[in-house]
Amino acid sequence: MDYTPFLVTFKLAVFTTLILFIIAIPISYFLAFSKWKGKIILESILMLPIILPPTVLGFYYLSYLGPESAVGAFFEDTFGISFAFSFEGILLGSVIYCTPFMLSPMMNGFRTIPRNIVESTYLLKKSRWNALWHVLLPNMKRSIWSAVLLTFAHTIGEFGLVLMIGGKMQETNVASVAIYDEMNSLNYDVANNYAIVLLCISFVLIVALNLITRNNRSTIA
Amino acid sequence: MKHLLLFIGGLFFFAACTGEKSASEEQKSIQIAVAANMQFAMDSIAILFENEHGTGCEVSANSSGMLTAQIEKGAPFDVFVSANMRYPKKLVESGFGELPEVYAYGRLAVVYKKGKTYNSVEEVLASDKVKRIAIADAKTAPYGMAAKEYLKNSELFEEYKDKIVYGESIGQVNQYLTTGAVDAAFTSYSFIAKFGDKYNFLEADSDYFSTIEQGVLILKNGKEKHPEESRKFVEFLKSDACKDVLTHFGYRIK
Amino acid sequence: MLSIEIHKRFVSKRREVNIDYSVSINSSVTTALYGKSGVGKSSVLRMIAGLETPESGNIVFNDEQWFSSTEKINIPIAKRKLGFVFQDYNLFPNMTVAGNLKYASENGKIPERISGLLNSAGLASLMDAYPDELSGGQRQRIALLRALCQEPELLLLDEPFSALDDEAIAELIKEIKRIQESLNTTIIVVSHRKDVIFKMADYVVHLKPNGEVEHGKPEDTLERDF
Repeated sequence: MDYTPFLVTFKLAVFTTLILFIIAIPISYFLAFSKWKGKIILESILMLPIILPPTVLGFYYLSYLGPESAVGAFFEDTFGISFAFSFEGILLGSVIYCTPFMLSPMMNGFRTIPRNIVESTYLLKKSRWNALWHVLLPNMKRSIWSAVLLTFAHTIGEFGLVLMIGGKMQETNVASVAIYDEMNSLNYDVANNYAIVLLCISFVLIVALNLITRNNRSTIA
Repeated sequence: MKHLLLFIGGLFFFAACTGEKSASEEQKSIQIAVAANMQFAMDSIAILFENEHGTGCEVSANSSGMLTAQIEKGAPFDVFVSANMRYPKKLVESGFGELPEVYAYGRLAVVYKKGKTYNSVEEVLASDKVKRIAIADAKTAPYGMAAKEYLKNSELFEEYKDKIVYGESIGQVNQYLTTGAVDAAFTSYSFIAKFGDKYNFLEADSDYFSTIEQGVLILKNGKEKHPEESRKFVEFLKSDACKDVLTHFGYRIK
Repeated sequence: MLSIEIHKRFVSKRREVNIDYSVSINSSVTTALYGKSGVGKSSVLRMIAGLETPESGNIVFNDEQWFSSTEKINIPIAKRKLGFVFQDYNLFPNMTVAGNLKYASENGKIPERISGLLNSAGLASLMDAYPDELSGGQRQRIALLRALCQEPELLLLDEPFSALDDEAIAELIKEIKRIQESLNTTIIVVSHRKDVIFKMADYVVHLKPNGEVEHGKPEDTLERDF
């Protein structure tokens, strides 16, 4: 059996989660603590992919970032990177699509830390960066794990968006798309094997998520 | 905490290394967009081609219409093996290829599960045992267009349109058939070549729909990146070896 | 000497709070900031600390201008030499007592005087404990010492007794007195409990809803009606 779809899925999930983890920390920090009035608009835009049908996202993605668009053509001519039908393309699409899943638990994590704790860091003259690293993040471990697992799991489950942006190329053939493709090629045995593996992986992730979000005494958030 | 970071670093590194094609591997294969009905034949053709020319074929199957849309959005295919000439011509117009050629003529079959035997397509449609019949979406699949044309011209469409279920492509139509989601379907002859022992079929009279001229086209991407191999493939598709394969799968070579 | 004159008007818990006070607080003594609920005493303390900003007025501590609306001065918290203790949630749950104290100290080294106070308070054995393993009273006493790790001249306590039982309150009062004696810090405590104030404050600043401020010894400014 060909295992490459799982490798592609895994690679997509790892990279998406990593990228989102790095950019979500400053953004969620800002959204949690800033007093800027326009915060609500920014937050709503970033949360949009939760409600938006993947096809809407896919449509706009291809129209404005695809190789035939201004942005897409520029990147292709200058850097040789194509944002459609390529791994970079589905990675970008995946990052956009999973943003809410990393951002939301992190924002909640920051917001749940008692205000006195946060203010204590100011009063101890610590820089925001120092406080983030030594006090805030260590006290929201559960939220961080939630965010990471949710994002990872959600990437694995992506189908419509990856299909639209990635087509069925070798480098974009994630497991969920592979199942669909094998079914349409009437290779039911292969489809079944893929499905069982995905089911098992998803189950493990959900169990992990539930274990972590149970009440844990050593963290606040 | 440190161990966790190390583990994640390792995962990251591992993920980065997998799935990367080596440069030489990439050069040795071409990407072919294949109309769904040609999928079964392409399995054999790809193997023969690789044996003879050493170049592998990465096949991506879908309805011709969807493949056309992808190509126009920049999908990096080298060759387009379509189920009609209309889509290749459209691509030529939008600057994605040149000189489409016909490589085969398709035949439309009405397929149903073994059990009862019907003598005409109308009988199949009228039967109580046939509750749902699948055809490919006429908007994007040439065989779907042909099926719809056939039904309209033989004046069967209006009467039985409630029984019709649309599949995205011939591939999905076949899937509906083999999983029993539908009781009968309009599909390409290649299905019978592969699954004939479990199904009965009738040929849809070609007088009632426009000839299915299946065209092949070297795409802009193929011409720029793999001109040699793409040209060789098209030649191969028209060669005698392929003609045998195509005939075996129910296509006509005129 | 801390002298403040601050004005701020805002809505808190659906009540309008009008802060309009002029207060002088002596150095090196323990002063209680007393007043009815909603009169704004916590806000005053927070403004002294720099956690909140007055709309207008000025704050001067030991001849240093910390805030002046006319001269557009607003020294950030980091530059005000003060320590602060909240009612609860002071200590960082992810660090041990030692960790908390080291984090609060310059260069991660706990000042000797603080170690000394820790010892005399009988809390040295708790160095490796996590905050959630301590009692409420122990947490507050450690929080107090942590607030002193950067050796501030001003120590602010916002309702530090509210979450404690009588025994813990007594321990905390003892601690505050010990600190006052050995470090000579200026201490301001916000509290609504007269009995506690009588036990530990040298002076009281009584904030009244009409803007009046009474200042003096506890027995002079507060009725002994508890």
